Amino acid sequence: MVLSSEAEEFYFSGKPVFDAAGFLDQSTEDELNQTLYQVWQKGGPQLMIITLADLSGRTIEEVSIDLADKVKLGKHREDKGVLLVVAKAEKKMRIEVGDGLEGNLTDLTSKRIIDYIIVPQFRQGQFSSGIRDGALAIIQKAEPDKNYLEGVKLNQNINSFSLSSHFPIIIFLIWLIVMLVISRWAAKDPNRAYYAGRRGRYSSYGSGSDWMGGGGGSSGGYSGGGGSFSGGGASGGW
Amino acid sequence: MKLVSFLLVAFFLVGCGVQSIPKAKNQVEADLAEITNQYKRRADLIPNIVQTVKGYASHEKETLEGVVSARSKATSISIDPSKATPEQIEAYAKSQGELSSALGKLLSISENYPQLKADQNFRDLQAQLEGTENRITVARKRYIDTIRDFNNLVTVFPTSITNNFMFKYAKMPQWDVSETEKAQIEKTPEVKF
Repeated sequence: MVLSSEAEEFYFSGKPVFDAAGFLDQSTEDELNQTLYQVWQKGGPQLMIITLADLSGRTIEEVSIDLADKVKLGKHREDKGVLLVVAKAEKKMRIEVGDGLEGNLTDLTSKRIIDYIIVPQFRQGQFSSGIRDGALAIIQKAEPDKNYLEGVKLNQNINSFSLSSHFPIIIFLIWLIVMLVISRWAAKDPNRAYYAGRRGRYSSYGSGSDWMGGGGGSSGGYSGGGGSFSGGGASGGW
Repeated sequence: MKLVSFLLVAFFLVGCGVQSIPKAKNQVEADLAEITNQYKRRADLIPNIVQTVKGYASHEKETLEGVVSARSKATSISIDPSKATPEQIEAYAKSQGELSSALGKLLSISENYPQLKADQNFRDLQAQLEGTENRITVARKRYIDTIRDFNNLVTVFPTSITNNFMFKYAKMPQWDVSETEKAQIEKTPEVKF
């Protein structure tokens, strides 16, 4: 099995988000890292987001199940793990659902999250918010009767797939433009800025109190608990 | 002293595999059960799909009936994972492969019916079918790996010795994709909406 070297390193980082392809702006990535970690701490689904530069000639389904088998998200027998994989070159994505979440996060629901929430935003170049909204929808749909996302601002009402008001979106767009301008201004190569920034943050997060006490091994923080996957979920592309 | 050390080595060698061989065999049976589970799931989806396609393409009688008869043939062949012979497994795999072919034909003719493709119910069923096909693929991959692990234990030293003395299990044949399905897999084009 050959994964791109970025993907092979990912699960040593001990964090929910591994953005090798550079889709996410820093603040969305930070927000997602925090939110997903908290959801997991509260006993909710363990969602991991992995973006890859390319699939190295394999299908998204093959890579996705390999990653899921490697990380084993979710606790053994509880199996509440779910993986969101996005491949930049092939423009494909997949939601890989763990055994314990298949009741709510059916293949159909996963397909809808991809087709109605993530892909439309990707087609408009809004990768950060597309991934963010998709991730939050996954959490919500995985356990709809629990409210793990209390206090998290949801940009989309995923039931009607429409916006409740325009004002927050305008603010969001202004913020997004500001973020893009700052990141372009801060470094000649925007991608390099992400990697440099992330490496720096690894050391501070790794030793910080935020990530400890996760019940994981020596890698600390966000790690799998032996959960199993059966190939459920859905794929899509943009 | 030589006798003691010889006995120790012999004991160690024989001990190897006493647990792992039966465990591996159980895993093979469990993985086979999982495959039949997923194939059943697929079979359960098919009547709905046939009905939906019929609603838009009822004159495609040959293709529709092909799926219905392939499905009833496949569901009539059942295997008991704990006692299945290689011939039974082969017959089972073959019938499922024929069903895959018939399904493939049905889905490809639906390309010619834009209203069918746009039907929300049909799209939902396709999503479910894709999910199930992926589960079948994953279950098969795991089964193949498990058979390989079992065969390794049974044929490779030192667990092979334990097998020769205690269990006498034969090496298991690998899951082989039937000829029709192989041809199907090799030339399936990517379906784009």
